Amino acid sequence: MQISLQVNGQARSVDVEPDTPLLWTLREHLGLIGTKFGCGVAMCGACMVHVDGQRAFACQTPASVLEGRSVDTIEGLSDGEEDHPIQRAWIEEQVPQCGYCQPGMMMSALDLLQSNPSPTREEIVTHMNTNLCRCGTYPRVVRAIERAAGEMGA
Amino acid sequence: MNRPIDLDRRDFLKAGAGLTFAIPLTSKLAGCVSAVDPQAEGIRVENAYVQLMADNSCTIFAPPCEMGNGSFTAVPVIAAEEMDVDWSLVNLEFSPAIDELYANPTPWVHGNMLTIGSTAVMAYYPIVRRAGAQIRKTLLQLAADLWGVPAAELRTEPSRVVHAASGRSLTYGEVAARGIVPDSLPEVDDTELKDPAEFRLIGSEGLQRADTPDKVRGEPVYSIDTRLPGMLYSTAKRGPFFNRRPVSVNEDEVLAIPGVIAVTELDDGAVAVTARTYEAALKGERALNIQWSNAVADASYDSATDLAGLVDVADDLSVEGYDVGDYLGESGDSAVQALQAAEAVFERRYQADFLYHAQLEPLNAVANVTDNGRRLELWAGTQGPSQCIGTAAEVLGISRENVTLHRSFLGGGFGRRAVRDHDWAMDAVRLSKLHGAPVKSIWSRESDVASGRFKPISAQLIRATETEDGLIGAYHQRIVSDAPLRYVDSERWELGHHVPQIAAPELMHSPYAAITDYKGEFVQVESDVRVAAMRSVGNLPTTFARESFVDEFAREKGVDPLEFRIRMSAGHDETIHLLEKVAEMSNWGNRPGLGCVLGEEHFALVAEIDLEDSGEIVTRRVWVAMNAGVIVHPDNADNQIAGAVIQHLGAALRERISFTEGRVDQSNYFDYQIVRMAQAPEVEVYFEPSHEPPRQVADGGARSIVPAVANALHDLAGVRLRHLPLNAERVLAALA
Repeated sequence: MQISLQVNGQARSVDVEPDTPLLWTLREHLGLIGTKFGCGVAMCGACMVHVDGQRAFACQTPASVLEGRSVDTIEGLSDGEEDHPIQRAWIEEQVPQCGYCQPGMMMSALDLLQSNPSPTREEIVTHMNTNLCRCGTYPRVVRAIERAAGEMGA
Repeated sequence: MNRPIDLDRRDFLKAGAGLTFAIPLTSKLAGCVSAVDPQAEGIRVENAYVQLMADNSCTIFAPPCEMGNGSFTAVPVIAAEEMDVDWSLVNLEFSPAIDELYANPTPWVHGNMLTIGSTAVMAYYPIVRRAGAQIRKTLLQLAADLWGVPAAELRTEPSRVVHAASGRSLTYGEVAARGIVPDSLPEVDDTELKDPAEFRLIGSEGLQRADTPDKVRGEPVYSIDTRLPGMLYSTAKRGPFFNRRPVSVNEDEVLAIPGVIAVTELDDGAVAVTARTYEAALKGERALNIQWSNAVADASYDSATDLAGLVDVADDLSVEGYDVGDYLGESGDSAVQALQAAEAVFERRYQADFLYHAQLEPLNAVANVTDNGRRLELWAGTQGPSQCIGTAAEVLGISRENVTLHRSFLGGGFGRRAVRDHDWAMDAVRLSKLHGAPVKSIWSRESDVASGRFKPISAQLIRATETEDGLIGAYHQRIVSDAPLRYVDSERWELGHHVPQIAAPELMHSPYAAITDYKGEFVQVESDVRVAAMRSVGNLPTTFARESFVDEFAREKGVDPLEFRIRMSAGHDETIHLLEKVAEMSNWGNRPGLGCVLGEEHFALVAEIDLEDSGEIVTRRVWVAMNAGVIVHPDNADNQIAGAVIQHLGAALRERISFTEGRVDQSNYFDYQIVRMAQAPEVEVYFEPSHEPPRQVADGGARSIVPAVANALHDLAGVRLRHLPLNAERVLAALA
């Protein structure tokens, strides 16, 4: 089926099967490879994107529900010139090791900070528990979110 | 093996001549080797690790892979330090995959370019220091010739040569551009290296990893991100055990799925589904119904029964294993004799279940076989790039020179991507040849779990005698397990004379000074379960058993377990210092729920836990005191230790692979449960300041978290669990 949607603010049209997960639509049909495949069953969060401004597992979002919707990915996080405060915080705290889970982590973090600009540590952990990191960078993810919250609130 | 690297420029050029180096797909593909043209315009001074350009910029080559370890930054930092280059002028590239120039010098790596066992910084440190120093020495001599002054009067500042007496200075680029570069660069001996007290870059707190910006911007740095025009997609399923083949496949049913173009039995017995899209390939995989060879016999395999059998073997001392001390020329006979003569023997048994790597980036590769099967371009995240090239060349029956490997970053390795046969990458190679088109092969998570290469199950028996002072005197630790190396790399297995090092390195000696009569023994058992090296390999179960045992011994004697470890370390001042340090950091002993571990002579750890009514252990905080020698990149070293502690914590809490009726019971992250953020403790790491050469960091002891949790559980709840993982079910059973 042909669907039309907004991806990172741009109108895109793509021809995929109705049950094709947004993950593969983004990665292989639209070439936006920043969104990662980890498990395919909403257990790791590597594919986290935003649909209409709220986080969603791209692996669980079929094309059939995407007509006219707005999708944001890691590629749209920066304004094209400067890194987003979340990206800056991630660099400042030197969060990534292998880095594969981090785009999903950052999209989850953005979702949190949009609804809760100054989350407590407990709120951060509860919200971010959707996202797995096998390298064990969790303490730095928490610190980066706290840093980004400070910067975005300032 | 420790083969000295040849730093001679002409030899480097010779080695480079005729080799095909990879061209990156896009300039953004930061993980890839870019064109390394030895005659490139602008290069003025170079050896195998450094190319200095006339414009004062500089490229440093990193042989290790980058899978989160940070060696892509840390190893070049070592060269930059000795070269005294301005770090902001340095470009980083992966080195080409040439064993002769870039093999990991660790003896047991046997001359391969493998990034394994947390060895990269430690192993490359001496070589890369000399490589950097050689460039600096060359530049000093060139400047001395230019100015007509003795080289001894010159010094360097970052990327500048300075003659203080005359107030003259030139950039490295200027010196190299104006000077007459010799064909052969001067030798450097160790006395010409910097005094570590003078290091500017090594040990610098503010140093950042070079790979971070691309990773947080979602740039295409992993092999799975590669896209080629006309590319097909594949996934594959394998039999439940090693060397199984499909007997029947419901091919027609799968081929009927729109987009699926082929169902193929590959040479290694895998069944691959190839499709025009990956989503179609996945549908095909789910629809596959395969009857595997040996199915009737395999259906009787049950990992709990297998492990019970290993426990019996561990108990049966008439089954003699390999005396691990033989590798070092130290027999364990005296320990056995002392145990035979002893009136009382303290004895315990420990077990561990299978573990799965669970790296976040699924196994994948992109292959493009062209020229009627005579050429291959391959994108694969591998811990062994030279082995990957060699295996691909064998699979296609072509020469290595016709294989171009793009070295991507790895979305986690942990040993899974260090297997010589590169099973996952060869799927893409075989299918690209078959279809005459580029193929991206991605194993689904379910496929990876079902046919994983696991850290083997193990059973252990530890026996010890007590000295007059109440310490452990003679000590015998015996592990019964498979030897992963026989599956991982048969060549290294042969070269190492079947020394089961990969199964039991920690068994070679005891970290405790008090243990004078020591025997480490490895009893190899084999099954058809695929096994592999996995982070800390055999050290995780062996450290778990030893440190649980030492704790049990201490508590039975009524001695504080940390104090007991200090007493056991009499004469090892450094070890005692680290134990005292970690006691101080953790405020040891003032509350229940603390467990301590001496992981190695240089590594002490304390964990603090709580226990929920559900039986779940909650790890609150972890403290580490470690002496890893020179810490090249302190912030990354901290991240590596904290991360490895959190990763290994999963082996203590919930991670386990089990087989029932010949099938792996788990299938994805919901039933193979790695540590999530809510379970991750804060980890405070102390590195003892040191000018000694670097040691392993992550694999230097972080596994100690596993026995620390077991010891803390005993401290808190009075129960001793001796079977990994210490999951809620087992905790509740012990408490009942």
